[in-house]
Amino acid sequence: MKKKRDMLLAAGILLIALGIPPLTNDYIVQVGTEMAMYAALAGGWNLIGGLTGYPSFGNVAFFGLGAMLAGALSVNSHWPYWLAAAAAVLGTGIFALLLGLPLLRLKGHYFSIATLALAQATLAVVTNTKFLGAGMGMSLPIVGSPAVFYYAMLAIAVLSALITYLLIHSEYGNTLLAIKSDEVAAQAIGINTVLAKSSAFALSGVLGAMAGVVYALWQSYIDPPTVFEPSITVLMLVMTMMGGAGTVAGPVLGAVLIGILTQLAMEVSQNASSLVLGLGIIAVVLFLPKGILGFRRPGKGGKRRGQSNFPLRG
Amino acid sequence: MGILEVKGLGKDFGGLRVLENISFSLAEGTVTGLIGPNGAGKSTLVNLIAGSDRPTRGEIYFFSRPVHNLASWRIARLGLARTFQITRIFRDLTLRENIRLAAWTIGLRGSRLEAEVDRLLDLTELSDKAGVLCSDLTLPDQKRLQLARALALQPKLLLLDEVMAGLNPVELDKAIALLNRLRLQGITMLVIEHLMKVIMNISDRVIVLHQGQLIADGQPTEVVNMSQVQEAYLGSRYVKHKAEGTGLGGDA
Repeated sequence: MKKKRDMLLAAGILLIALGIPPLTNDYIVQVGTEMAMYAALAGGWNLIGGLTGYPSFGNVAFFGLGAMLAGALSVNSHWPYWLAAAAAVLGTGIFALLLGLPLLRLKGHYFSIATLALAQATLAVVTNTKFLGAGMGMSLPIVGSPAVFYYAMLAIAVLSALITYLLIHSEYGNTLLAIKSDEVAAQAIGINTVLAKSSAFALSGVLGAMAGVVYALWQSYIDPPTVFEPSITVLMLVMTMMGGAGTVAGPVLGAVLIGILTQLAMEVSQNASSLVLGLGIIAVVLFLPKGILGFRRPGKGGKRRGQSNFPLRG
Repeated sequence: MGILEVKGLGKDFGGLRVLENISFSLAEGTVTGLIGPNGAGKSTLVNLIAGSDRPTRGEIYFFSRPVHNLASWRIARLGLARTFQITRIFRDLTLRENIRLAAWTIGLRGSRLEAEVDRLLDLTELSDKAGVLCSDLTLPDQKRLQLARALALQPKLLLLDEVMAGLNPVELDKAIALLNRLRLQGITMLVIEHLMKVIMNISDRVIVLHQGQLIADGQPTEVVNMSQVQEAYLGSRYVKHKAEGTGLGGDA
């Protein structure tokens, strides 16, 4: 069974990932933490950009807001970090849901531009809010070990993939795919598209914020320009596209590949990593427009999509 | 009082008046043909009834409930289903998933859901392609899928926008038989069709649109012989010379 094979593959990858901290050094764990973080972020982006077909250019807003809110609640309000983190994730989810309602009325490029503006506007508001550090940045207590943050990020990445898997195998996931295919037809069969899209956007926001709250504690110093850096959204998008948008494994694969490529290029020189990333994007657009996993999709008369959708197909 | 009441409906696209003062009602269980030359406003009328577009003027009532300001998904859940002239299917889903999603939105679950999907696949003769991704379907299959998907909503009123276009004669006869079966089940239908063979075969009544106006409404045989209908389709010169001709011919 293909499904069984996919499951075994996923379990194998997870097992290797779990073994990294005890079997390798801190440098690899550090790189792995970043990869897991991007796998989680790309997985979150995939829900709205890949499954629903609304390419958001502002998902870094959720990552940044999650990090800053958790930091502020912990440093300024002296909440225990787990409570600050939970509140930050919940708050960001509500923020995404409320902003999704108007933003998701826009389509295509209009939606992308509006979300780009959303991220910049959120950065401006955060930078000018005293409670959130007023742009000065925040120092958090130094806790934990590299392995702890690695496992935390890995857990979020797994959650992100699991959510995508469950979605794709549910009618809710089919609802999102239907919206991506044809929103007018989706409405014509009785789908409340506003609710479906906004909830996918909120879920995407929640995953972004989860990565953000772990990132804040991991780095122990955060400031708005770093956590709202637009290139973070670009990476989520590129990783998802490279791996295969709308698939479970695509964002993970993209995050790992780009992570490895970036590290290898950094060995040569700092600037080489940007070059590698740029060439990588061009190569994907030219040769694999559906991403690496999308490329393996069978042709006519293929099996039904849901059957083995761990999925190597979108 | 019909299940659908359209009162003084009008639609402008910018300065262009596409529909003007359309009023009619549909009695339960009847099949009404909606005909008219290209650009008469037929699809626009269907879009307004189904809520895919908002009327500029006028009102629409479905089972006495005003629906002209409702979102199309709400109208669909009230039991008003439609197909699209230019097919709109969910390309990333399989045929079966397309139909199942529609049946799911009206609340079917579990084995009842699967049984209903099987029944619709069988009814529209799509069972052997159930697992095919919809981006791989031929146009006639896409049209059948749209019909199956609309039926999955268990509609009380079905709006069919040129479901027969592009079918070969054998497929056409099958499709007509299918619509007649649906009629026997008591589904009220409003059918847009260019093929007069279909209209004459299945309609209890025919409504004719021309340049956004309702110009005729009556029994099929009576409507096709009305001079204003023949003028709309064939021009006034044809009607003048009708004495020598044989009337409105075959497939208009």
